[in-house]
Amino acid sequence: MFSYAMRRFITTIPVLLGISVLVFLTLRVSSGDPAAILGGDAVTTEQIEAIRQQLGLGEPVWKQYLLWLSHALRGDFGVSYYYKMPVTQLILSRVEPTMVLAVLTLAVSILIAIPLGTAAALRAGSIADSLSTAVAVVGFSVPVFVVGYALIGLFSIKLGLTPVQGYHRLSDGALATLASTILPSLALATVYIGLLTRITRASVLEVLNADYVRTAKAKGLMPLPITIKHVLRNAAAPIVTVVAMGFASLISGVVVTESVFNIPGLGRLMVDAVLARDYPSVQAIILIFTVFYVLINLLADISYGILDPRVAS
Amino acid sequence: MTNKLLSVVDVSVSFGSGQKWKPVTSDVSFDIGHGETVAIVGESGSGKSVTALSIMRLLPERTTRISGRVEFDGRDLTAYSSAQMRDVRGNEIGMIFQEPMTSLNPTMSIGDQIGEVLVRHRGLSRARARKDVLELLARVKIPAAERRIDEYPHNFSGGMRQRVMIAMALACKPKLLIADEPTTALDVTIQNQILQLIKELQEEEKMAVMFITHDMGVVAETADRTVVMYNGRVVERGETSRIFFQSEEPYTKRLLAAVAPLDASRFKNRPVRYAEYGSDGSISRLEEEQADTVDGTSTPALSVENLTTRFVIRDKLFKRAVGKVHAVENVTFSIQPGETLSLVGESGCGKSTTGRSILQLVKPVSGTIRLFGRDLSNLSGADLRAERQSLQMVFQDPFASLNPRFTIEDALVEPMRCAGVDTVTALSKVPELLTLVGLNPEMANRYPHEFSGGQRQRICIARALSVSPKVIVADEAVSALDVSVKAQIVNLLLDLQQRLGLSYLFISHDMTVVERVSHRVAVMYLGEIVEIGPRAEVLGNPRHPYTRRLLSAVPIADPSRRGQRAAGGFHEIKNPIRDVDYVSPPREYQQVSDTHYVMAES
Amino acid sequence: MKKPVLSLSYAIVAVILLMAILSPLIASADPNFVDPFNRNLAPLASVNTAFLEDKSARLAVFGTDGLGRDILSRMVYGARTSILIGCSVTVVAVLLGTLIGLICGSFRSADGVIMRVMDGLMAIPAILLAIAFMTAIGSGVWTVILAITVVEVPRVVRLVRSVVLSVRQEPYIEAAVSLGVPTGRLLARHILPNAVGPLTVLATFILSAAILLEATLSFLGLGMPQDVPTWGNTIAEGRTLFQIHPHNIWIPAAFLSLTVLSVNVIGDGLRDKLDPKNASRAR
Repeated sequence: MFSYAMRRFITTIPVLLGISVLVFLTLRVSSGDPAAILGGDAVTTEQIEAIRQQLGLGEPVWKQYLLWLSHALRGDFGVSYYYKMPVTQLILSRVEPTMVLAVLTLAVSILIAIPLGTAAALRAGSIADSLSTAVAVVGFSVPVFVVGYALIGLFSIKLGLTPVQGYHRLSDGALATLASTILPSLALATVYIGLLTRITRASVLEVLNADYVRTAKAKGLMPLPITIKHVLRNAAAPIVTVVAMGFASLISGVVVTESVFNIPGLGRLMVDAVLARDYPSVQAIILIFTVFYVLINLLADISYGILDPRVAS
Repeated sequence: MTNKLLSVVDVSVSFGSGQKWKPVTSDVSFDIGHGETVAIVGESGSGKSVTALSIMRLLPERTTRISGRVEFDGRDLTAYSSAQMRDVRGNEIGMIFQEPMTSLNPTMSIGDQIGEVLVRHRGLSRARARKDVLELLARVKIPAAERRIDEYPHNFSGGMRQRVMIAMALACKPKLLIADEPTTALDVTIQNQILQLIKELQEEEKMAVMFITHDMGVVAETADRTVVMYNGRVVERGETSRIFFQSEEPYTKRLLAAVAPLDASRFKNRPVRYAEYGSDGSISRLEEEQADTVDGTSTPALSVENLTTRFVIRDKLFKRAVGKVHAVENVTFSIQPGETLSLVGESGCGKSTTGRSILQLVKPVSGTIRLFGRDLSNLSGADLRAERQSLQMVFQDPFASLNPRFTIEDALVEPMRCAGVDTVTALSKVPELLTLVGLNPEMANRYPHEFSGGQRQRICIARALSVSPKVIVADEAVSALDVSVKAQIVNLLLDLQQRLGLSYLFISHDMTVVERVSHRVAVMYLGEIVEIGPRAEVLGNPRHPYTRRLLSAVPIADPSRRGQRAAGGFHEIKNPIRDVDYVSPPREYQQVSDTHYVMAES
Repeated sequence: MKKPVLSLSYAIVAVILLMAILSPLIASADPNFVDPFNRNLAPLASVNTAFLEDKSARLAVFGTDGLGRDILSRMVYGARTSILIGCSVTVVAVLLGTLIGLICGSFRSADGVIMRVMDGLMAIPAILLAIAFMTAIGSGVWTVILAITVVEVPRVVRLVRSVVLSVRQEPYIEAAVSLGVPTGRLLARHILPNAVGPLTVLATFILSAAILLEATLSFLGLGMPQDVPTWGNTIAEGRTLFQIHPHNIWIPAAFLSLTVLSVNVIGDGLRDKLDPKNASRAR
């Protein structure tokens, strides 16, 4: 098992390196002269030259990349052009809301989607089945920002139950945080619930037709143990994979949701940074999101090995 | 009769939903007495498995309708609630299935899967159940049970998994075991072991067995009484020996003719046609030995020298070679024009890879392949395609080897077009080809899915013949077919040999067919030919220990010869995976007679 | 999917397509015409014509936005942009992806390298990849098309490659090889037809994903230039007045959601039709 995990980990290293090259190239090469941007208007050419030296901009691109990578690996993403502070510090100050949002969304989605998908598969044609199909299609089709505004319109403006926008830090009290993140999480969860319900239904349905489920019935086992030990256990692997892959839509949802609900998280920071042409911040955030995404998928792969003993051997 | 354990009375099953219901079985009735073995025999679609599942009430409730009565041990099972039925299943009636590879849960250890039954029906604690599971594993003869109890199904071979299934079914000492084609997916030597095991356990437990099979050989070996099913109905039932020797039912007689052991004293050297039956069950054409087609003096149609094919196994991470599958090792043989050589062996022995290597569908590592003296091994591209026309292949699965998007005409015309024949000529040959294989030429515009398995195999043969080949490699060409269809296709192949002077390399694991079609037989084991010679000599006077083991494992469709076979010793088929630097040992062959060779034991 | 829902979806897509093709005929006004006397009209309110050349009495069917621009016209031209981008991305992604997929499936040497690149592209969440491209090249129709195409191509490559690899295992392919069918014909006649069905389904999903992604980018201010009347831009501009004049958001949101929903329903319908057994498979 351990060697399987190591093997999987090693195979993700080239992917991570490739991503870093891609992110570096698209944003560094195309973004004009960082020294001039960083220096602003009021500096002399000598000063700009000094900044160039300091950033290693005179070097060939591959050396610049290595320099950037070695700094990034040590957690140094340079200085934000716009906020004029170290990018790392900037990011750290924005992590909390995004994390809260992600965790809450994940919890809501899994709690709704897996029972719904399982019920839909167990009783094809039932209400749960129609509901799961509807949830899946709508989740895929209605943009997160539309869901967001609908929720604001209903719960905040019409009913006045939740704050319209903004975010309350955990240090202000968890309840306030929850109140300010419950709507954004629900908005975010729609896509995720759609995705998960669909895959749960499909993989449970597939397992239900497996020969070993017939064996379990032939053994006279009770329906619940069959569902849990024989069906869900085997259906779990694809579901876990989709939970991990769904992080892509979660990340894109975060970017949008934070804009809709005016939450000062990483997604919002990225949009602001893009609009302000603050390349070091954009680079850093894209890289962090992506590395996070790749690592989540790695984790899913490894848990795949735990769930299915055939994979690890 | 008070001795009845199970009686099935007028059970009919239909599948469907809403207004549309399609009958699958009608008025099936039979009894099974305590401790008795009853075989339900029939071809695919006869409803034998559905009958078993309907007794167990394992068919999907919403899409199935069952009528009739099932009495088990004096109780009416059809009146039982789902909950009551759960108490019967796995407890009083155990069941094993055809596919040992998929019938076990891949994510649970085998110990847990067997123990589950005891926990459920006997109310044992998990620890206590584990003790019993160890005993059960020992009883089904799984070696090193202590160690293997915590392993997962994928660590076990097919035969071993079927033993696990048996342990599971027998855990609660049921009064009845339903075995649904339990050995069909297994190799013949393993099948023999499993049949022996079921028989032994049955005697110890005094349990009744309902044995579902399509194999008359297995019936003859095991059943006290036999129920023959066809098209969802019981055609005949009675004592097994009566069914075999005194049946007047046309269908039963056809079925038996297709598996009847060859009278080795009457037919010695040449292939023997199966007897043909009219629709009323009378014999329309007796079984007969074919006229001599072998041209023994000319250049061999196909000669294979030192053919070796290996597959490299690579490390997943670094793509480093970590081993090699020695699929085919130093295989040498030749086939004369008009001759049939059968290549026999169990799964994984390399017989199919040999066939595919000869056609260059996989590239052999070394060896020469000559077609009428011309070397194929170094050709590629257009040259290979041109030469290969006189060498064609018929595959095992008639469903998958036809492109579902092509009409029959398209399928037959394409190879001719690729061989440079113009469309008009190619089209004009289609009716001729279809007639040749016994199909109506008017069917040319239909798609494969409109045909039965046997008809499709005829189409595949017609397609192979479209480029006028001289040699045909038939890779398990009749193995997927029902017995009666199998006999028809074998007869077709033999007729074509008569008319066109074809040579066959007949690759098969089915000894009853090999006995019929071959002039000569080669036995393969672990990638090597261990014995080769005339059919009568190899089958009648086997010299190599493996050949003997293989032949003694084949069930004989003759209940009067029951128990004459040697009890199969315990063995597993080894796999031919070797280290990267493994060097095959040199082999020597001893000459037994003029043309009969056997590998010397090393 | 139930029949009436499917038919309705086809109808909606047809209407949107008509709007896109015939924009100048359908739009009642210039979508960028700023009218300070008719700002934030509610849907179906009468237009104040006192200061306009055309004095005929008329209603603003979907109202007007904060600058007095006619929302119906903006929707009609927005449909044009959405469809243009959606279709361009779909066509380019399917063609390019099929070509690359065929190469990967047929040549082992190319497969390794290309698939690593595709894996890398797929490892980056779509929106981030698109944002990276938009940031690097700047906004505009072609940039948006390029950015979304880059995101979608790997999905096509994977599909085509997997079809080629799995169909190559089919006995009928081996039969064709042994019967002398050359490689090119094998690909064209035996292998590729198997990809057409799944590709059609994937194409509809790419179309909906592209429309959605373009709207999302525009909504964030990272997509189409702000002076182009798109659904996403209209929603973005409506945000400031959302609490007082919500129709500025609801109307474009409805257009966007219904279009994407309909295309997805059509995709599901096609998939069910092509392979009833896989009706419930996830994408």
